[in-house]
Amino acid sequence: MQLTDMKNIRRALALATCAVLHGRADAVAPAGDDWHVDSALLFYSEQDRVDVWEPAVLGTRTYDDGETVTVRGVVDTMSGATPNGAVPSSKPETYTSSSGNAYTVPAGAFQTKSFDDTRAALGVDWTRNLDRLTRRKLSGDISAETDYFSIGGGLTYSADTENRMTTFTGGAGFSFDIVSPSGGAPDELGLISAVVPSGGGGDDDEGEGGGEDSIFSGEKKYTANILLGLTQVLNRRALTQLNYTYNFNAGYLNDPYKLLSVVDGNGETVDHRFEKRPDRRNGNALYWAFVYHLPQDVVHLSYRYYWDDWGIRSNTFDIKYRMELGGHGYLQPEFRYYTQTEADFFRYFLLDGAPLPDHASADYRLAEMDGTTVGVKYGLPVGKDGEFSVRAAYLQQTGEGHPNQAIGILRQYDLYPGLDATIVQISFSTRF
Amino acid sequence: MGADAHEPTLERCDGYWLGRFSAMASPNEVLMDVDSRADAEALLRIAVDETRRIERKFSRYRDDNIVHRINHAGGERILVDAETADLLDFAERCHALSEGRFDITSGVLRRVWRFDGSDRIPEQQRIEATLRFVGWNRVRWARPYLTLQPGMEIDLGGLGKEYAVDRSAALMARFRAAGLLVNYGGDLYVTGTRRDGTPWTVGIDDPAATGRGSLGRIRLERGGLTTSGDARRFLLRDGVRYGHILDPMTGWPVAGAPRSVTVVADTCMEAGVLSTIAMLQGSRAEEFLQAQQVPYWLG
Repeated sequence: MQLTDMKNIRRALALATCAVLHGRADAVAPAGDDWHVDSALLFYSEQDRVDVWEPAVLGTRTYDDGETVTVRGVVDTMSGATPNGAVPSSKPETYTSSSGNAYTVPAGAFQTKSFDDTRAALGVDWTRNLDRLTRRKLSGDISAETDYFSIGGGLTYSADTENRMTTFTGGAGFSFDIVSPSGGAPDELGLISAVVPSGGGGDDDEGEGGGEDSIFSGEKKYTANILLGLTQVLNRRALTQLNYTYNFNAGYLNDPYKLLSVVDGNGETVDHRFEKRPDRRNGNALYWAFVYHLPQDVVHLSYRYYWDDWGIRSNTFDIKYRMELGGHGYLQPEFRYYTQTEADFFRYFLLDGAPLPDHASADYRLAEMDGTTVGVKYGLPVGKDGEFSVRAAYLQQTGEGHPNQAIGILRQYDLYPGLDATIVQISFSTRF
Repeated sequence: MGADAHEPTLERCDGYWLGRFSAMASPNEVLMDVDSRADAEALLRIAVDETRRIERKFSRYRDDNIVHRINHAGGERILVDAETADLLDFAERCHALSEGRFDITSGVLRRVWRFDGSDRIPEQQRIEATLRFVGWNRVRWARPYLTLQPGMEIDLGGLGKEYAVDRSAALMARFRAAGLLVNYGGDLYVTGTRRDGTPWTVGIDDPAATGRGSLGRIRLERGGLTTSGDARRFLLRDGVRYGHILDPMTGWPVAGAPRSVTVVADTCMEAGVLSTIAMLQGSRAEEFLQAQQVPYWLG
């Protein structure tokens, strides 16, 4: 028998207090009808390769009844060169493309293709409370660049349990993309030497396209995804989250600018073929995150496991530690490790004369690889609701440069185009 | 507007700045262990702005805020903003955790009980008539919509001051986390030790000898501290003292409650709810506090 029937309510009370002091009110208080604006400028630079400038703006307006509208706008300006999939060769290589562009790569160097593009994207989220414990979010996205157009939408429901310690989330989304490579999509596994340049001459009969450069005339890609999530408050300091995502792609999944080298028995390049990927992909991801609030600092841990029917399995570990600097802002070091297996149809090259596989790609992003990111962010509160932050990170990606399949002269070359990238991000958030 | 709009004041004390202002019908203090006057002024401004915002928004003595709209809805459903909804959720949790004792609708009992030190005890009939307008269980709360029965009222006064303390402290700490002590009419929160590593010292007033006696001193490194009590608000009849803590279930003052309960907890809101519920337990206040395993003092 108990000495007293008085219940200890401290833990439950602490959680309720946490919700009122650090919960939604913190994000929206004090005034209701304000715009909260986050702006950021991201600079991503791969050594000797791609540079990306990405200004982004995110505005959130919260209405009196808790309804929020978020508008997201991003512009990416990309320029530089990206590996085209071909292996290094002992002779200078020249490439042509169906649009009539030609480029040349020096001997022994990585085979890259230069590009210059700008992408603009706009998204809107609309969240409203359905009742005391459930919320609905509707979102829409549209983005466009020279050879790519995408439109999508999603619907997410989330529900809290009565004590607000558990939140269930369920959602679905879709997107429809159109890829319109300049000069039309190349023949899958077609030889590059068989392509007739169409830019210079009066060769107008391109067959199916028939000259109408309508935005809908390109190759189509369909994406659908489903998300199931669970967020659990463990105690006033700890929170954990588990998400499962299923992603389905169908349609044109090739990268029209990627090539595979066709090499002879000595490893010498004799020609190139365009890649061909399956026209379907089923991907799954499990994501687990854990946030722990120390008296001042905060630790974020997360792990993601991804697997798909292209044979790719990946693991991502991420840790961030937010260190409060006693009122002088915070410092947040981060570390991320990524590792993936190669796709079943990944090839470093194709052998001349051998039967063509059903699918093949030499895109380094489908190869076995490891990536490590190390970075730090410094944030400083500005005024009552604003924050200024700067983040700098360094990403290094490595893969198998000397695979067993390498033959002849290819054994001398590093066949994996490693990647070193620097990321600098400046953000400012404020309320209007 | 003039006369009663007290401007905040700031003075240098023994190694810290003391800011004072009045709001929520009480004298409020902020102790700031910072060097420059400019920093102290900025911190005090944050505290004053946030406290006055909360007072404007949740005071039941105003006719231009959400509490007024709720209390004068005449049975209509009222849509509330997210912050109010969070506080209502909190109040609902407190009602459940205290098994109905902590109730933000119990304020209407003040219409019949006037704690002016006299011996005027209301008639049971009036108390029962008023009790029909008391009880969170009679309220329909379906976030973000609140519906009160006509005649019912809510009063967030029992939470508002502690909420203002915690909010002010959190906002000030974003600007400068160094040793801050927020004390709004005796409900307080400490963000951390002073810069030399020593904790702030808080004296606990003895309700039997207000301003003269002390129940003790506590060195608070971080956390909230509140005192609930009836030192000056009671009725006395036939030698029985009726404190101003009313039981929303009987409509009568809780019997056998200590004169004051002081509790230390992680936040001011938690301390405030625990000290209030302890008072509502009456003669079992100490038993309740022991079960909570929190530091406490009874007056």
